[in-house]
Formats: sequence, C-alpha cells, structure tokens
Amino acid sequence: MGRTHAKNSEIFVDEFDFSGLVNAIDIAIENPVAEVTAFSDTDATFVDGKPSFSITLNGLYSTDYDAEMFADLTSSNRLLTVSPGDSATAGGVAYFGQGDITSRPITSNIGEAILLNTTWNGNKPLTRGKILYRGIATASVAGTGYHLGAVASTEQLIAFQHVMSATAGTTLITIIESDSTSAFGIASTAVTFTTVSTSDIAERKATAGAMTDTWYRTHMEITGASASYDILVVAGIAPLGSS
Amino acid sequence: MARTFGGNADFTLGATALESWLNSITMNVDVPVSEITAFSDTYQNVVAGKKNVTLELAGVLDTTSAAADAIIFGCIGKGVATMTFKPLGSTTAYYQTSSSGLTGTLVKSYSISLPVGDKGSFTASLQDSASTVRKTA
Repeated sequence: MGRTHAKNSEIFVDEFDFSGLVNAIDIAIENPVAEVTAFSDTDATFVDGKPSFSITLNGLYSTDYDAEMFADLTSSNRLLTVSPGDSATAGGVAYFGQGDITSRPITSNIGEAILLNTTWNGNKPLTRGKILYRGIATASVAGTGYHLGAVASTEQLIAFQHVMSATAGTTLITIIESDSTSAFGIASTAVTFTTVSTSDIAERKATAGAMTDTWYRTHMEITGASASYDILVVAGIAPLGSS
Repeated sequence: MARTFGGNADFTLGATALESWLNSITMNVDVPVSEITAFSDTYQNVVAGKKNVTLELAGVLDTTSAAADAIIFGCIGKGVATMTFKPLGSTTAYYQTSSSGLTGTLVKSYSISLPVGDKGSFTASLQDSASTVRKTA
C-alpha cells in the first residue's frame, strides 16, 4: 500500500463496527517533553515525557450508536481499533488503544444530518500493530502468520479481540500463537482470550516480554453446530508499563 | 543569490528518509531574549538566550512498514533520534542533529486524520534537544 485515501477506513469500538456511521477519525498523540536546559548546553535541551493519546470520531446519529455511546459514558476501559485507509483485512496496519469517552456532543440543525461526535482519551499505550484476523469464523481454523518482531524485556505484546456477533450454543476460544518462522513448526501460545459463547464481546490482553518469536497468528477453536463468529483480532508491540 | 522553490526538500528521521511522504516542513528557531535596558541606553536593550529548534511536519499517510507513519510513531517516547533537514534537497546547506545523550530530536506530537472525503494524512511536531547544527557540504 502506498499513499492512501481515507475513504475505506474502519473503526471498531468494543463489540461494534461503527464504520457505517463514522465519516472522520482523528488520532492525536501528545508527548509532553520537559525542558532540562543547563548552562553547558548549546541549545535548549529536552527529555521525553509520558505520551498520551486521544481518538475523535465524527459520526452520524442513529439510535443504536447513540445508545452505545451513552452507555459508554459510565463505562471505562473501552477498546478502540482503527484500520487507517483500507478496509480491515488480515495483514493490514491497525492503531488500537483502550480509553474512556470524554466528549459526545449531538448537533441537530434544521436541514442537516444529526451528528454524534465522540472523543476518547487513552488510558493505556496506543499500539500500532497488525490485523491478525478479520472475518467470520464458522469452524476451528489457524490463521495466516504475520511478522510483528521480537518483544523486548521492556515491551509487551498487546492484543485486542472484537467479537461483533456470536452464535448461541457454541463456543469460541481464540489463541494467538508465536513462532520464530512463518512455518509455525513449533508454535507457542502467546495470548489466550477468554472463551466466548453467546455474547458479543471485546477483550484486551497483554503479555510481557521478553519473547524471541517474531511471527504471530490466530488459532481459533470453535465448538457447536452452525457456529458463526464475526471477529477482528489485532496485535502489536508496546512499551511495558501499565499493562 | 538564488531564490529557491520549495519543492525538493529532503528530511530524514533516524536512518529513514521521509520526503516521499512529506509535503510540508517548517523549522522554527526561537531565541528567548531577556531585557537588560539600563538608564544609559537610548533604546531598549536585550541579550539572547539559548536557541530552541522545533519542526512541524505534514504529509500523506502510508501505512507500509518503511513509510513515515511507522517511522514517526516508532520514535514516540523512545528518546532522541538523529534528524537531517535539507531545504534544497541537496547537500549545499542543511540542518542536523546527532543522537547522543540528551542531544537529538524528540517526537512531541503526532496526529493522523482520516476524513471519508479526502486523503489520509498526518502531522508531527518535533523538538530538537541540546544542539542543532547548520552544515555545508
């Protein structure tokens, strides 16, 4: 992918795909550098601070979108995943982070569409990673492997699973496996998500480094007849800190 | 003395050239001055402090691993990196930071914009630390 139009970007909030109601996404990362200039310095001198991020969604009002956004006002640790530029497909880049909703104005003017915009402030590191799986899984399957790199002892592997729909009476267990090569000859379990059954759900998992494996894939175990799970799984490497 | 078109600038952060994705580079150099006006002065008088160099970048989003998006995001919170800014895109005269100790370039902010009716784009603010030098090849 080269320089890209934003028209096919997608946004997932917890167990919802709101791409059909959102028409602009802004991701902002602030790193408050601190000045430490001393007499012997040639120029003004600075050191890194602790980064923070926010994600602003410009959306179109609908009752179901409004209901979820209103409910999130009193919930915390919501999970947001942005597929920038392209429709979310396995192997594509994703930005994902955990945050709380801080603003959600509804604007209703005569002659115009009703708008519902939301702003989210992150409370964990924003991760730039890859989409490991996107689609509808109906049976147990191992996904394609993707290269994320080794996880240093100062880093952690962060993974989100968004389950947009589930089938009652069946179960889904998603595992992220790692290996040193794309062949996955001796795969290790890096992340195990909580078993999903009847409810749509989203979950964040963090595994602290060090991990020498560089390749990662999903492995889904599905039980039950006529199972169907609409799933997005993303993973990436972030600094170790607040898990 | 030649007047210069701004269409060929080069910019490198760390070891990666970013000019393939950038469409605007602004380098700001602020020098805080302190007033030292005394009774004997005819006009107000000031002395210069240490210069403070910041850079504002803007460009087109490309999510491939070697593109500006990945490089700039990878520098956030990771300490100083080297920076080279060549306004003419040649080695005639350019600005540079090294990367050692407190000396180098920090990423102060990074924003991605994804509007449904336009290109994906980004902006970044960089803070030079300790020493920015102007070189001539």
